[in-house]
Amino acid sequence: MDFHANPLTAQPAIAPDAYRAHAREWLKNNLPAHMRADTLDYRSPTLAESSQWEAAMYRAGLAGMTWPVEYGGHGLTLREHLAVNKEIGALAMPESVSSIGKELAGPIIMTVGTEAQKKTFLPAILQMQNYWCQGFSEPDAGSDLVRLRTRATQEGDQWRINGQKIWTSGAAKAHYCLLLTRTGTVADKHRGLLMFAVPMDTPGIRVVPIRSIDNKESFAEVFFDDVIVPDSARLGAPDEGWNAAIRVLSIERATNRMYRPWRFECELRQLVQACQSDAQLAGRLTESYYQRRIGQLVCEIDGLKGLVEQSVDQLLAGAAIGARGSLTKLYWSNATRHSWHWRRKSSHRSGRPQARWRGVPASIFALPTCSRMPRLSTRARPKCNWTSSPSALCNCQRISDHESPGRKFAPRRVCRSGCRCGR
Amino acid sequence: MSHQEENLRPEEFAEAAAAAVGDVLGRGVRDTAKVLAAAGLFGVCAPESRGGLGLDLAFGVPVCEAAGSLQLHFPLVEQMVLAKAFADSDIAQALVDGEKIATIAWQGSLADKTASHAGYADTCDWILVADEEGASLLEAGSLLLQANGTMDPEYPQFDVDLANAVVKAHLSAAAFATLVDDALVLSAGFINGLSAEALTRTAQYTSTRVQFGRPLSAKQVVRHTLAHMKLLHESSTAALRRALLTNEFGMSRDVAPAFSGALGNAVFIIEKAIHLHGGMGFTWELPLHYSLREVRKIEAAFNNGRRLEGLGAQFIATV
Ligand SMILES: Cc1cc2nc3c(=O)[nH]c(=O)nc-3n(C[C@H](O)[C@H](O)[C@H](O)COP(=O)(O)OP(=O)(O)OC[C@H]3O[C@@H](n4cnc5c(N)ncnc54)[C@H](O)[C@@H]3O)c2cc1C
Repeated sequence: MDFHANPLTAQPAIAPDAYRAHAREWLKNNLPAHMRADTLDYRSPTLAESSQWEAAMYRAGLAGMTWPVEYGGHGLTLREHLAVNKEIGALAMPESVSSIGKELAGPIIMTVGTEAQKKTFLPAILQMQNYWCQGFSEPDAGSDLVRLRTRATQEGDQWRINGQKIWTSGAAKAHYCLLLTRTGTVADKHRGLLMFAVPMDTPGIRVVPIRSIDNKESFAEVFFDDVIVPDSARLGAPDEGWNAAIRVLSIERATNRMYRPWRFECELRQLVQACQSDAQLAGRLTESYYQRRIGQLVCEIDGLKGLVEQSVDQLLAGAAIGARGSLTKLYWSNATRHSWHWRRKSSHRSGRPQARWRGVPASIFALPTCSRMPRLSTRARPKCNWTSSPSALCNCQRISDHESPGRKFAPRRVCRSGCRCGR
Repeated sequence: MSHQEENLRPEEFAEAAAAAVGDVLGRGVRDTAKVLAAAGLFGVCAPESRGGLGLDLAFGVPVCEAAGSLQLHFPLVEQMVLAKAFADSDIAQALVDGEKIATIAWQGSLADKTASHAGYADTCDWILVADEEGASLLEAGSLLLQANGTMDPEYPQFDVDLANAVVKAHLSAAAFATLVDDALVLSAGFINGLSAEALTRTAQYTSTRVQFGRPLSAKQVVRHTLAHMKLLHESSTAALRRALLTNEFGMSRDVAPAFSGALGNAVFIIEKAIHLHGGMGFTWELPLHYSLREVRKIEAAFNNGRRLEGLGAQFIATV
């Protein structure tokens, strides 16, 4: 792929309207057709293609807008960040393959990292040289995260880490893990939580992908067996990293994926286009029932835009955002649920695939009957107790591959008989 | 204008408006008009030359929010938008001063000889009705009124027989369209005020009402419901705020989604508020039903279902 250079990055003190116009023009001219989910040329981009695309966006000034220049950012404000996000949302482009790095690890490192950590990690994230994963959740610590058990023990100027993470998105491709551990016991609750930047190729780390409902393997279990990292991998002092994470995340929740309402609008456009391309569905667009539903979605999108823009104004005015940072995510989730509900309804009656709408919805429309998902069928499945010992999983002889004494959870994948033995 | 140059902020109006509205609760309509006029509320967006403050519509929103949260029974939105729309005549002055009271029949037209959905028409001096070119302000005394209390027996909307209508003044089509947009904005403010109050009242009630040994709001499902109500209210106020701001390119925005969104959200919030008050919620004494009636009346007056269809059709047309 060949991306045109950006004429604007040299002059960061540019107004948001010009920046938005630049973003619109650049994205329109550079987004490859096969990455546009609203074209017939669309196919899922490879990791390398996505990476190349995002690196080009960064060079064009469309990523890292608010990060300081000395750490590879463009030194701009949330206003430019918002302006760019509006244009990102307006195009049916792929989601970032490095969102954990850009939205989570980066801001946390910026807050608690040492100068050396900032200089090492931050530019690499923006240049798409490093992907990150987030090692927070554990089998016994989900919503109640403070029950996490993964232990970090200091041994001189290094740390020994033992434990297990689960649901770790992108672990298989990640170069680094933003790892949350504890130095004491579970009884310490919030005290003694310690965060690390752990290279994923460190000996003792094992990643076992989990097949998800959409037939992908985008998240995984990650095992840490006597993993040794230097003290320089530590992000902040005990508690400091965690407290910073909470602080940072309350802001990040409000500022990341600001493109949501504009993407939502873009998807609604795709849906209308798809309907227009089908005689039966096109007729439906003239019915008042469907027009009203679309009208309601337009109002929801408007509400979401209002929340996003209000957050930016509040943050720029120096207001503490607190729990309100979650409002946009929550509202977006609800609105998206309404939207999918309506989309299913509008297509189910005709049972037609959405020819011009390939990127997002195919699996959702097909979910009840999809032949690629036999494991979702209602036929009887062998008992596969999530918390039982590996030997109870199935009898397909591969247990020894993933058996590990003393561990409560064994790595599991989905075998043909429906258990998670890995076959 | 000087007030804006002095860095006045719309929110600062909320407090003053709330004090004035609080003062008139329970008073008759004429009395109410005098007090609200003395507090300057009718003229917030009317020109200074007519006794108004000449401020942006954004300054009218907190006034209407305060009126909504205190459940003011008066055609405030209508009075305010008419005082703005008739800026070129003495009509504005009379409305700003509260000497005259005006309302709007939101449906029907002079050509149809009938109109409807005019709130408080029985106590008004003038009623605005659509005509073939825009709208006409009619002398209320020349009209036959029929109360329609289907949605609200205490504060009904009125059907208006226009057979012998005497026209006081005209609005052009463009001026009428602006007036309707202004009314959408201020009504959205009023609606958000109604739902804000329902939410506050419910949060207070559920934190003091004890069942199963704990306050109701200690139950997670109640907290979730309250959080969802809050979320919808926040999105309504954010959407309205956004509708009043120009975009990066200096262009103004359509106010219709903020209005329809506020309506839908308010219905949910107020119905949930009634639900969370248990049996008490279903009594006439608990004033939440008034809020629901107000919202439903606005929904019907502006034919919101049709508006949503219009928004949908408009969106489809842009694809
Ligand atoms: C697609 C996906 C990607 C993820 N990626 C990552 C990642 O990259 N890194 C990472 O660390 N984690 C990740 N997670 C994990 C996610 O953060 C957890 O799933 C989440 O914290 C919930 O934990 P749990 O799955 O153990 O569910 P549980 O905590 O066991 O909850 C199960 C259900 O009970 C409900 N529940 C929990 N507590 C209460 C309560 N007090 N009252 C009422 N209901 C309750 C929950 O809402 C949920 O519906 C991912 C999850 C998903 C689905």
